[in-house]
Amino acid sequence: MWVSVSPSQPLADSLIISGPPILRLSETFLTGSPALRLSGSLPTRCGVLNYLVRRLALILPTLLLITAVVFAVVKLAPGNPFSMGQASGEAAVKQMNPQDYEALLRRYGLDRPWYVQYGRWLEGAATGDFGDSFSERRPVGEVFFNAPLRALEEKSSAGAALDQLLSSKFGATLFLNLLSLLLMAAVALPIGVRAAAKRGGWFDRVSGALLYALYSLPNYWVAVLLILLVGVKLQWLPFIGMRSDGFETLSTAGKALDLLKHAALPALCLSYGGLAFISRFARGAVLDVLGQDYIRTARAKGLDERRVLYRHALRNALIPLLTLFGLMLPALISGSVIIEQTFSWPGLGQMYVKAIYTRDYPLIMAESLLGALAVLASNLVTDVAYAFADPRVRLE
Amino acid sequence: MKVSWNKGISLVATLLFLAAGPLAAAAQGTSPSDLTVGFLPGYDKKAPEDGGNFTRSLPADPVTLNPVVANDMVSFLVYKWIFDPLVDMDQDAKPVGVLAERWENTPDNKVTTFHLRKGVKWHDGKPFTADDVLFTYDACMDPKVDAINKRSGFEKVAKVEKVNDLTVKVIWKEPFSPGLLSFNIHVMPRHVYGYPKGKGEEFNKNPRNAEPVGTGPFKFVEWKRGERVVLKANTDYFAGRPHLDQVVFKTIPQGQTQLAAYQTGQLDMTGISAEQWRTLKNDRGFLKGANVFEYYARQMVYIGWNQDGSNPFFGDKRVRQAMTLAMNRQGVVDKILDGHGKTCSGFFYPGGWETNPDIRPMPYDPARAAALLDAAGWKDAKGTGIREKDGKPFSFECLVPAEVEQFQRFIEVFQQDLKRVGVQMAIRKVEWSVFLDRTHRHQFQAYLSGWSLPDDPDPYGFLHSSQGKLLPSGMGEGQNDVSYSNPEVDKAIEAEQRTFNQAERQQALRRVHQLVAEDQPHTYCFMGSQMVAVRNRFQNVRVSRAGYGLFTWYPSLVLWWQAK
Repeated sequence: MWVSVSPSQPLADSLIISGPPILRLSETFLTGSPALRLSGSLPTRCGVLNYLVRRLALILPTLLLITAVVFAVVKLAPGNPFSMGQASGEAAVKQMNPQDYEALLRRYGLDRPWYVQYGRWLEGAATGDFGDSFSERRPVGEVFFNAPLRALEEKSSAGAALDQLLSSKFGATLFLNLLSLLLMAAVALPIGVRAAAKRGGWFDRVSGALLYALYSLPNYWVAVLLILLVGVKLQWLPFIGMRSDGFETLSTAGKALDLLKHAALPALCLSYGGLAFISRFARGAVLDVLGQDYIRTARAKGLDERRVLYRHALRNALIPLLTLFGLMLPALISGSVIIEQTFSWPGLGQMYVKAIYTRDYPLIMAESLLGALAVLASNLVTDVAYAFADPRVRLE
Repeated sequence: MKVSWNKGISLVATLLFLAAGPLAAAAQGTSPSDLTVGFLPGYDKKAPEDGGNFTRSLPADPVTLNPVVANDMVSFLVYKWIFDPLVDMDQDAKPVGVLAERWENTPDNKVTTFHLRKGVKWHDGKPFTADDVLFTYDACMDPKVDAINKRSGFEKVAKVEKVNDLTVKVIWKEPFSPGLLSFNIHVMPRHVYGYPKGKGEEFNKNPRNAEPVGTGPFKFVEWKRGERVVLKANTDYFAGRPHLDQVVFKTIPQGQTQLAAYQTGQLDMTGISAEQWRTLKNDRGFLKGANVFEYYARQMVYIGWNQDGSNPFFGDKRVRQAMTLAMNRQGVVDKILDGHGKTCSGFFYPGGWETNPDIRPMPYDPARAAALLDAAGWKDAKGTGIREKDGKPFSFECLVPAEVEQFQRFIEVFQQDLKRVGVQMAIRKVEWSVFLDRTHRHQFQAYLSGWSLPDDPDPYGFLHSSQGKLLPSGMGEGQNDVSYSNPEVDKAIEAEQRTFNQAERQQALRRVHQLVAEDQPHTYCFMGSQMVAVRNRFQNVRVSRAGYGLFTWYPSLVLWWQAK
């Protein structure tokens, strides 16, 4: 589980973390609790800067460590892009002779020890060259961002740029996950608030039980079920890919609608599991706030319950939720392996699996780096956002 | 080559255009019990019409559409419609000219002259000439070009020369009869790449590899990575335009989704697993719109016995025969494959011209197996239930690729069968990459895997003793990883490679089949059949007789048409 902050605990206790920087960072990593210290004063500009510099300085060694470990693990697995390509069940493929095979390994430096290869990868990465994908035979940057890069070069209009972004693997994954995150928030927050308002009431209990039941359904199974029911039987929604044939000929609104229709089922599969989690978290946060003096004050001055709940309680309860959403950000770009595969969604998740199967080292490394960066960055952003949202938090 | 077919039917999908075999009109409930080719009724009654689209799925995105650099199946499924080879095979494995109109050999078979077809145009209108053939050959041979597997067969080529614009001469180092079909490489346009030869690395990732220009029956239209590839009819094709207007390939990685896409009209063809067939065969709606074909792919399940002397068991022919006799292969076909398969007798396609019709698959005969083991000195003297010889128990380990769930089920049955004759087999599941590594290094006692038959039946790579040696790097020289060695087989293979007389070649290959069936260097278990549904508005759809030339369908998609 990602979160150690127990909703029922007073906020202050769970957020005080101290220790050497490395430990703090790894704590941030594992638990997601921001390395924060509560104090009574406002953040000073200098303090924030100082903090940022220290955090940023730590990112580099962390990335080095992560990439080195990933590289070593991937390299130690038997096989290489050429042997796996040959072996992938491809009957029609002619055998290559052993001399050619060994020459190939030499040419791509795959015969060297892993640390030498890692050094070469690092050298390239430092200059922004992440190598060429073996399984797509083009530079890694193009595989991830093909279309957006082209749009940047062409300096096209915002609409066209968005269009281009969506036709890259990165864009496809971002779009799908953003949508499911929004879906989660839109459904889970009101449920959480309502459950907190009537704590122990029938709504609280029924919604809790239902959402936990949903939480326990594996989404790859639900995905197949939805395809058969909604896709095949009822034929309400598409379930293959991201676009209909003839997408290019549609109007802007038509395109948006088409994308949303295609994303509906996968986004549903990606979001329903998180509902239980977020709604319970929101419920806990709201409950914490409802016990505060200012809520009593608000009630005492005769505000109606709705106003108390949504204006005074929810706003303050949203602060711990920031952490939660911050933690979910990395998932936005890492993508979902199984769901993308099931719905033929042309995103990064699907690509990652294929990259591992075919030992496409440059792609595996780039995706791992991107994932690590996303985790580190979202932790940092969450911490900083926290400080701005809650004046009691001071970054040191 | 060794093949890991697995993961339900996604690979069936890969093989749809590939493998071939007999047809049974499964929609009418015929079982695939024999290997005769049948045709569904109602074909060829009307004159073909032009028009219409055909949409099929791909299990993954193509890697590249440059036929020299590509070495994966998915890329092949697409680029083979855009490009033409010099020569191809018909469904009886006879070479037919495509871009080469005809060819002749000198009497000593050391020079082959190809006469190219006149008036063939590239999709951009430029004429096709001998320069393009040389360009393609040079690209294949350029050490910096990742022509990973296109060079095999060219080792015996001394030189390729241009005689004039429409004539190319190939000079062989020695007569090599399988060599002609090495020229089934797809010819690429020299003018598009703009250089005569060389430029290795640039060629590997030239942007034109994603926007190919060929001479083939279909022209490239667009490739949306991860989504689809679209081709349209080449109305100027030298053999006449294809009847269909457009072919669309959609990337659908999951088999389950593929069937769903077919059922909702988004695909015109789908693979069907045995499990899916159990419900589909009673689904009237499905059967009404579909022609269902069942055929044997050119693949089989086999067990390799390591004969390099590293174990005391399998160097003895009697032991290997006993292994085969002791395992109830037919039982596995009946119980696990639901009857969708048949036992086989070697790496030879039943009914193929090279296959010896007198050889029957070995029966299930545990009594004879026990007698053979006794004769070989493996006896259960102590009554432990496990045979011994010189104090060593008959206990070995069999590698199985862990990814293929079906393989585990097969091997578990065989484990029980062997136990009954006093042989202990441990099953060792390993990841596919580990599996390949260990078998290529000959570090195993036995393994179970799948085998995919090559187009040309030449068995040199996996049955000739020279291919069972290890290179200094520790990898096997060839694919004879069981280190099988029989001088008579070697002689027959060498003769078969040298002769250009089809009858002699057939005789030599049938001799190999006979010797191997006796020696049992592997246990040839069975071939499973595969099922595919094609929407029945498509006409002239037939399963090929023997699947040579990498297709299931003969005639090919080019001659399919759609009834309005």
